[in-house]
Formats: sequence, C-alpha cells, structure tokens
Amino acid sequence: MLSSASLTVLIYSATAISSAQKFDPYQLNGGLVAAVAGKDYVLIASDTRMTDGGYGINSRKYLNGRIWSASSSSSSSLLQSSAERSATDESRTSFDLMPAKWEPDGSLALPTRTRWNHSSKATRILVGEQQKASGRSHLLDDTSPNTQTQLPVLIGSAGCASDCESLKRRVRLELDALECNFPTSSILGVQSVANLLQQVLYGRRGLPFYSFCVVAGIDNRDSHGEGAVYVYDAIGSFERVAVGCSGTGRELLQPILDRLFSESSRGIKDVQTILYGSSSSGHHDIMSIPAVEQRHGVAGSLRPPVRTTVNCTWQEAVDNVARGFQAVAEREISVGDELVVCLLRSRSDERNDPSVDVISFKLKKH
Amino acid sequence: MSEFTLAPTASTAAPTGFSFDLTHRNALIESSSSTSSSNIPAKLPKALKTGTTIVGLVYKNGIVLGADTRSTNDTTVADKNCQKIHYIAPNIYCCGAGTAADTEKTTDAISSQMELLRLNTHSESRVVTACTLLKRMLFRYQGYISAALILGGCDVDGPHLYQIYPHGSTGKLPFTTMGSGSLAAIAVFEEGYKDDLEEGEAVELVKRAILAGVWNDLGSGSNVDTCVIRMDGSVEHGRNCVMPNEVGELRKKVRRSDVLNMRSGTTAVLGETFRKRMGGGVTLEDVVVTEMET
Repeated sequence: MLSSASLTVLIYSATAISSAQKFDPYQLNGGLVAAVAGKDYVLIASDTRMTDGGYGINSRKYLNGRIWSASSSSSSSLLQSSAERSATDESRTSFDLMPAKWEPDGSLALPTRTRWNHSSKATRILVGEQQKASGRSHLLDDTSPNTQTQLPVLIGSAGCASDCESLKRRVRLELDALECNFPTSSILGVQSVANLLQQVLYGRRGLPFYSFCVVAGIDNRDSHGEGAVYVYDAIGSFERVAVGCSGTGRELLQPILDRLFSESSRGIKDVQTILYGSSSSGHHDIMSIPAVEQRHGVAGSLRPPVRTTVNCTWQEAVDNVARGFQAVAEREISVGDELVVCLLRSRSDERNDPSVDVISFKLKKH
Repeated sequence: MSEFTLAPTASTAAPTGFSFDLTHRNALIESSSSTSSSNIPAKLPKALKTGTTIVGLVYKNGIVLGADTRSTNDTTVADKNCQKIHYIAPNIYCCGAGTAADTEKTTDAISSQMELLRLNTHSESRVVTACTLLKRMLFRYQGYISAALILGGCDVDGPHLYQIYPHGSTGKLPFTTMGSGSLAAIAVFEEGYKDDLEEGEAVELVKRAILAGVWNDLGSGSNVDTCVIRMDGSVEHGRNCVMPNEVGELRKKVRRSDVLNMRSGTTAVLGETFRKRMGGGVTLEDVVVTEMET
C-alpha cells in the first residue's frame, strides 16, 4: 500500500512539473568542432562563432572553451611550430602555418592571421619576415627552452559555452592532480585522456555537461605515432574514428567529410568503381574493414569495423576540413566567422621532431 | 473577399477564409502520441520563419523600402536569396517579416482586393486603404497569422509609411524597422535619419540599415533588396542591390563528384524492343457534333 501511495504522489508531482514552467539550465551557444586522424598526423578544427542560442552573436573570436590541451599545465608550453623552425621545410605547401600559442589555462590562443581558402593565389608568407614585421606578442613566453618532445592531446568541445569551460577545468584539474601525485610519469596518452573524458562526462549523468566533444592526439603506443580521434556524446559514450565532428551542424558536416575523405583515400575516380565498388573486393565503402580483417590478437578480439585513420596527406586533410566548414557555414546560421585548424604531426621525412601548428581560414560573417 | 468588393450574399455562398476542420483531429494525434508508449513523434510540421530585417523610410519625394534576403528554418538557412518586398498595388509595396507563408498569402490577398477595388472605383489605390484591410484581417485572426509588415506607398495625399504588427495594431511613421534584425537597423536609422532626405541619401541609409541587420543578426543575411516608390508614380526596384556575400569563388572550387557527372552509357541497357507507330496523327472518334443552342 505504501508503494502505491508513493507512486500516486510521484505521478501527481510529475504532472505538476509538466504544467509549470520547466527548469532549463542549458543554453546552446553553437560551435562546430571536427577532427581527422592521419597516418602521422592528427588535426582538430573549430569555428570561432559563439551565439546567444538564438539570432544573436556573442563573439566572433571565441576559441577559449572550444579547443584546449588535455595535457597538464606544465607540459603544454610545448614544442616548436614547424613554421618557426624552418621556412624552407614548408615551402611546398600553400598553407600559412602559424606557431600554436597557448593561453595560461590550456586553451589554444586565437591565431593572428587568417586567409580565404578559395583565394586564387596561394599566399605564403615567409615566416621569419612576418614575425619581424608584425612583432607579435606571444601570450605565453615561449622563450623557454623546448625540451618537451611529446605532443599534447587536444580536446574540442562545443555546445553550452559555460559547460565547455567547466568541463575543461575539470579535466585539466584531474590531469594536474595526476602529475602532482606521479611527477615522474610522462603525460597521459590519447587513449587515457579519452577514457578520462568519458569518466568526467558520465560522472554528470544526472545533470550532464551540455558539451559535445572530440579528442585528437597522436597515439604513441606504437612507433609510427599515428593519429587518433574520438567522438563523444554529452554523457560520455564515445568511439574511435578516422573523421569525427560534433556540435551544431554536425549533421551537415559529417557526411561531407565522409565523402571527401573516402574519395581522397580511395584515389580512384572511375565512375564504375565508385558506383559498384571494385569487382574483386566487393565491399563498397573504402573506410569499412571486412569482417576477416577485424579480428586481431591471440584472443581474437575485434577491431572497430571502420578504419581509424585516413590515407591522405595532411595538406589534403586540412583542405577537406576547410571545404566542409565553408559549406556548412553557408547553410547553418550558428557556424561562421573563422575556422581554426590545429595540426599535430608526429614525424615526416625531413623532420624528426613532432610539431604543433595552427592554420586559420575565414568563414562567412553573416 | 472584403466589404469593398463583395455585396453581402445569402448563406449559400461557398465558405471563405481558413478551414479549421482538422484542428480537433491534430490535437488528438499530438496528445495521443505523447501519452502512448510509441516512440514515433507526431508533431505538426513547423512553418518557415523569415528571421528578417525589413526597413522603410519617407524621404523628400516618396518612400524607400528595404529587406534582406535570408529565410531560415530553425538554425538552417532555407533560402539564401528570397524576396521579402511584396507587391500590393502599382504605387504600394509591402515588406514582410514573420512566417513566410503568412506574409506572402496576406499580401497576396490584400493586393487582389486592392485590384478589384481599383476596377470598381476607377481610381488609384490609397495606402491607408491597404493598411486598413491588412489590420482588419490580422486582427480578425488574433495574431495567429504571424505577419509583421512595413507598408509603404505614394498616393494623392503624399507618401505614407505604416508598420503593422501581427495582432493588427498599426503605426504611421516617418521611418521604421521590423523583424529580428530590427534593433540593429533602427540604430542606424536613429543615427542617420533626417527629414526631407534626398533620394540617393535615403537609399544609402536604407542599405546601411539592412546591412547592419545582415551582419549582426543571424536571422538575416545574404543580400539587400530595396524599392523606391516616388511621388510621380514611378517605382524602382533594387533587387540584390548590395551583394556582400558572394559565393561564386567558393562554388568554383567545388569539383562535382564523378558520381554525379555521369557519362552516357552509365545506365546498363537490359534489352531493346522497337515497335512501329500505329496510324498517323490523331484520330477523332465518337464525337457527335451538335448545333449550339442560341
């Protein structure tokens, strides 16, 4: 009898809530983040528009809670940009690489230069001259000697800006605590950060952080240093993917990126092959892994059914992401203003040191 | 039909206006889907809203109207270059903000009433007539027709500019703005408006006001449309007179997928049959020609 009485009360209060004004502590501030994992690089990208949840723009240059480093405070002063190290190394590329700068709280600082992706002539600014000319003041003093050789793990988060900020502080607090307790250990690997983020997100299962994340880092467990990307929902469900995005407009961006990357990974432009797949292998999607190849290890455990890296170069990847964002910005009102791409490279033929660079593109302003 | 154009008839006339036949049924469907255990949502389709900046001002020799060209569906841009300046009469135009279908059908209905009225009275339409018809119609529907309008035109009494709210209240003003970008636009007007502006200055001010909405309001965007209605009866349309958001360069970069650019012969031919055409031309059969009764 007691249980039925309490049930009645429960139902009664539920109807009372539905008729009254609902408690709604969330605000959707927009933002779209994406990440791509390559064989020897990983990139993470975000637009810089923050809206008020409606038709108003709060900021056109917001990046603070969008892309941040999930490596403890002391180790995130990091690494040279390849742009700073040698201008000749990058002379082949049309991208304007800039050194990554970090705010004291671990966020990626907004780069000072942007370019239109679709400008016909590729403007390459000689980095040394540019720095002399601009006399850019660095947010962090990067005069400290670079002894760090491990790349940071980056997290992109979009949704409610205050929740993203809070999430950032929580995750970084955990990491600082870990470093305090185990000062000799190296910084957390990308898969550990991915797990930590899940713990933090699911810890708020009842009143979730309204933030939709991607994690990007270089997987150092093997010698290759291949890229790793994880995508999340708001309460911590996540998976490892090659190309992931979340935030407002992800429904628009994901299929565009899937298409662009499957094409550039395939390298086949023949109509018949695209329509019907190559006759020998039979399977359609280049990113999918056939069942036989999914099994690995002695225990016979299964790999994910899709590839977790793309095959293309980082230049292609940056171009694809920029194109995707520009297309989405055309149709999604809360995406726009500027696109910031942060590129982590583990190695290359000429360079042996890993590097962190930032590339920035303009998006529509209206 | 309005009282100007239609004499009161017997109740045999076909019913006019909106039909509310399905209101009860739709309410039942919506309530049953929320209580039942099925997960299929039975929600009514959402209307397209034109999050909008529309403006109008009176200058020395007439009226200038202005509008942006973005129409949105929630946070998605539904139309990048729509038209929000609607025709009412040769000397009267009307900008619409709110639900796209409502503004279009409302201005359509009133413009046809104005046309009939002109045929009956053999005289030029007056702006105040259009305003009265609009506010009566909107008031009758108690705000459920979500059309926020700026009505402007020139008639025998001079240039007139009215703003009309969805509930049917109106105001006669020297300059006004409406829509989600109205705050951005009115700020420009308050800063720049003077009595008896020259036409060039007035058009520039209108463009500036719309652009303020385009940049600062996410519901407004793309291009600027203007419409100048002069006292001599001439009208000048400035369709897309400012296009600050060209995407031509971006579009040129897009390489069409080879899947979409299909060569002839891509579709497999399973079989072919040719049959000779029977007969030649059209044959008339079973037609009895009767004489017309006179």
